[in-house]
Amino acid sequence: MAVDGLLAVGGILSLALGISGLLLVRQSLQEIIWNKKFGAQLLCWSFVCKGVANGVRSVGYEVDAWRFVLYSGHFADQIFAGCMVLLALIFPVPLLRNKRQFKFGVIAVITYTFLSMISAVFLNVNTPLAGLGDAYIVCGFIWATVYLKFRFMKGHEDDKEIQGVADVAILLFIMVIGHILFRWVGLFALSDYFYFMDIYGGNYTTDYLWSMGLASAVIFGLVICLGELLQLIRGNIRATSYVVFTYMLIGMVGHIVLSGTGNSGSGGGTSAGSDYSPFQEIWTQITSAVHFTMMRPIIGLFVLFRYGLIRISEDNQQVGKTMSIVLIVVATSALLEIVQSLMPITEMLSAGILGIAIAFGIGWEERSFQSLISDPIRFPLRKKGTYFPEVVFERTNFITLDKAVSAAILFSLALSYILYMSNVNPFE
Amino acid sequence: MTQDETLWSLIKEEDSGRSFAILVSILFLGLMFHAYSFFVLKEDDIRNKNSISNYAIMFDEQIEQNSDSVLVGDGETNEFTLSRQDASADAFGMIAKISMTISYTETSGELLDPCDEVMVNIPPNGMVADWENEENILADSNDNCEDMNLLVFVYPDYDGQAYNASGESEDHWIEVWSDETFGSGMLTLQISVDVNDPPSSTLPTVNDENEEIQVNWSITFFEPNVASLDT
Repeated sequence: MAVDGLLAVGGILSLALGISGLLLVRQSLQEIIWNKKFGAQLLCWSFVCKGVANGVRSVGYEVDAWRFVLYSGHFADQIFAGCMVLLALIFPVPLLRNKRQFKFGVIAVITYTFLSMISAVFLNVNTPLAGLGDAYIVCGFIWATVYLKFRFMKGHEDDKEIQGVADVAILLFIMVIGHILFRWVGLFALSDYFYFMDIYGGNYTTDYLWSMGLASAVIFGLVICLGELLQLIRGNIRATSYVVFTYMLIGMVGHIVLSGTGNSGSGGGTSAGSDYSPFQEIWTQITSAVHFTMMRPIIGLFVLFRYGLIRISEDNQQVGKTMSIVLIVVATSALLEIVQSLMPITEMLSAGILGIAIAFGIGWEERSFQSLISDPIRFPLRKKGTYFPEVVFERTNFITLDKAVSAAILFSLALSYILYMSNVNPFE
Repeated sequence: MTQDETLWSLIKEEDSGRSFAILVSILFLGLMFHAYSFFVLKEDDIRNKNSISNYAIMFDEQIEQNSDSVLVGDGETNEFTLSRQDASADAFGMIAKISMTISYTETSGELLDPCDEVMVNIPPNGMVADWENEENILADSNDNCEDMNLLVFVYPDYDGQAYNASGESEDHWIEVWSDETFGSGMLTLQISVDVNDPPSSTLPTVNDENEEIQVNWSITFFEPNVASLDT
């Protein structure tokens, strides 16, 4: 399967997770603390945005409507970044700690996102304002700080709830930034495959700001990795530690594979560059592209259920199970497609393996789904009230958020269509 | 427990403040390193990453030549074969083209014996070559003892002229002109002779039953040479 095919699968996965997650949030009757409820909504909307972005980009730029592909993908990414920044500001630890601060934060994020979109429309898509990797810098900084604070909180080394906050900070960090960690060595080895990553190229300042965002992500990743190494020495290793070590180790192997490559594709290096060898292309596909398209929704699903952002009851259990099954089936078939592209197996054999894999996947889903939703990790509401302020929001506030983001996505699509019909040059 | 609603209260907390300070310090140092790398160490590379390189592509040629003779009987067709291995060990590179000059004289020694009719033909198979090239000369014939010249272009699009190319890499252009598939295999020259008898052919002592054909061949080898034109 080509990377474009993976993008399409990633788009489907993200949309499936986002839309079904939003349905679950709406149907949830159980009381959930405000920051988790907003967090669930923002996480789901961010996946809807990524679904739109990956879906349109899977068509490629070699089509007549390439302007629509470029603009709609660009705008969807900017709304995604806005959702992620807002998520980081309230989850797992709310930094916006009362209604006034929350309103101010939302206005600031909306203003920044709107300005980024406007600069892409009236200037061009590679202006510095449109190219700042804000999702990497702001989210990485907040989640790395939360990680350090809670992972090393004195006297709470064995407190599952306290450590759970650090865990979810790591998972969210990996979810957003993981594909960049596959290239972390390049920052220090001055490798082209790291420093040549850009959004669209052509503007040195924009290239720097984008690269700075990637560098920040690597630095935060290293801080977390060193923190986990320290905990390993102390004997406090956790499941999330292995996730961090795995990503960093793949990054080390990736340096060996990608050394000597020049152009690195665009964005966060999720696609192969023009001068990649077949092996380097495959490597990029099975690491960065797989994370970008498939691991993100799967980690998102885990965070939503495991940390109680969405609570499953009898009312919405069926939607939750359907959501998990769709994700597992699509992800399993996509993974098998990748394996098929790497190994010379016949379509008949791969169809057989796919059937077996899905059967096992759904069987596994039955068991893991129950364990995932049965005992969600609660954050220490009462132990550490300082960190988790209780703020009362009306139901209409949550509905307003849904309306605002859906309006933003529709507006961005309509704007992209107008720009496409107007034959606007995105780079002038 | 009272609920402090300021963000600052979180930062100034003892262990929060420490983690905040550690992270800010590491981030500052890391971004300084990145900025130095981006603006100083790798500036030229980054600025030129999307520029299209220009290359001068030149060729070094070497011509290998030799000759052989083939005795062909009246009404018969004999084959003469040629391959890369027939060139000397010093020959290098790709095969550009193969040319053959076929010559003969009337060797019967009979008085007024006219030249025999000789037909030469290179079938378009055996060797991987540019058989579709319109400038190939694959067949000829005569009966006046004049030389016949045959020519096979082996490497497609090769004309020996240096040229400039844009884009791709140096290795790419070397690779374009280094496909050893062309020139592999065996080139076959088929030679047929029809003896033209002298006027005295009715005499029992007169005998013209075959002809010795001389084949002078030359193989043009080349090696690509690529130089960047970018300063």
